[in-house]
Amino acid sequence: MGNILSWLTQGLGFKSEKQQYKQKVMNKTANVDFSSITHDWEKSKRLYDVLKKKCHPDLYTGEQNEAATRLFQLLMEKEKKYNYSELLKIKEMAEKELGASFL
Amino acid sequence: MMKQMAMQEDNISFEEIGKEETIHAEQPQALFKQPIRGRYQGLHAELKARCAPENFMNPYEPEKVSKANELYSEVLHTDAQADEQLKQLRLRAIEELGIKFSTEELFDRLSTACNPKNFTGDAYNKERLELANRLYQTVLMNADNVLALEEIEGEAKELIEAYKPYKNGNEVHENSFGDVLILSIVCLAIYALAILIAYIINH
Amino acid sequence: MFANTWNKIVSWFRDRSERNRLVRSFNESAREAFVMGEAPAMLEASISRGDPSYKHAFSRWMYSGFRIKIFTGRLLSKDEMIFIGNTILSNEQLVRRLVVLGWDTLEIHGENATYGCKWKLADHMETINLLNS
Repeated sequence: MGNILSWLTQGLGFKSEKQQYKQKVMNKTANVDFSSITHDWEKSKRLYDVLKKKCHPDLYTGEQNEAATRLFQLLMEKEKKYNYSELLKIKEMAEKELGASFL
Repeated sequence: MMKQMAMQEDNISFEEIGKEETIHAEQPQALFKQPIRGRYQGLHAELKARCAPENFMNPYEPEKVSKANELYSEVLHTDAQADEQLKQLRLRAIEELGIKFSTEELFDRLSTACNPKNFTGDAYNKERLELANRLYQTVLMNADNVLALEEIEGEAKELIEAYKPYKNGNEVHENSFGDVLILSIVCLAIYALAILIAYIINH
Repeated sequence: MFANTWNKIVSWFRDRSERNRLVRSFNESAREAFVMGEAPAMLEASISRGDPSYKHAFSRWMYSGFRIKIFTGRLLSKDEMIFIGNTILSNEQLVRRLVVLGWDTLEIHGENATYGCKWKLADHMETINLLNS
């Protein structure tokens, strides 16, 4: 009975490339995290504004300037710009490499 | 009723945002800035509440505790009706201690009176709409800044006076029609159920 | 052919429940964030008709729009809507899941609004050729 049920629910085993891709994506995104959207979207804007000022390459010279340029480029990436946890990582790197203070 | 709601939703016209525009979009300046909440019995009461030295003891900030101590003592020695002096103390609290004072009432009043929608349709007025349009954005950007909002209040006097409460009354009337309809349907349903139960009991 | 049709029927039912579950989870998360004061405005997701010209290989025949309503109690600027749109589109996992569950349009508008913004989801996914077939 269990076998019949699983046969019924899973189809007949034959899956097109499209269905296989769909299954793969569904498995990979099973635990999609909404909190970066629902909880953190406003915090990410505020942190982004602060990081934009603190990590601007013009504020630093020498090695720190290179580090600031790299961090600034990271900041401009679409996936990081609106993602609070990614911005927090950039903030940590800024504190370590640039000695920036975020009080 | 549900169909009406669905049709209402579909009256929204959506503008397509291309990939380029999405990538290069500027971050909005006034992103859902919230007013500072808190209702007090006057500025004196608010100053007492917000400048109390214990507010800066967790986490412990010795410099701020010291400044708050000075300010708090001055507040206690100032008359509750001395508006000008209290405003000076408030300015010092903002500058020296970084305190944000309540903007809830002022923001609600200004965001209602300066809403550009108030001057469209039947109440259309070109000059007021232009003024409202200019002020509304500033109100939203300064939702948490009491000094800026008080300045805007000065400029917005004309709009605050022109804001007509009857317009709100009309809107309430339109919305209440749906509620009356639902209530009528529910009453009819209860009545029908009562008749059915009475019929079943009798037979 | 029978296998394919059967698979489509099974997928249709499964996807329908997955779609509803996603919308429900999103709304619960948004409500919790608003109630706890972590978000200044409440977001509410729903399913809409979408834009037929945005169709891709996984699009549902009807109701392929993922609509977000923003409750702020005031007028919303276009920049603010685009910001929320960007926040959703930058979440690659969510976009992929939306696409394979049949959504092709992201719509955002305020409460009592007559204007909103919409995006073609397929444009914002690092796509494989399947999406264009």
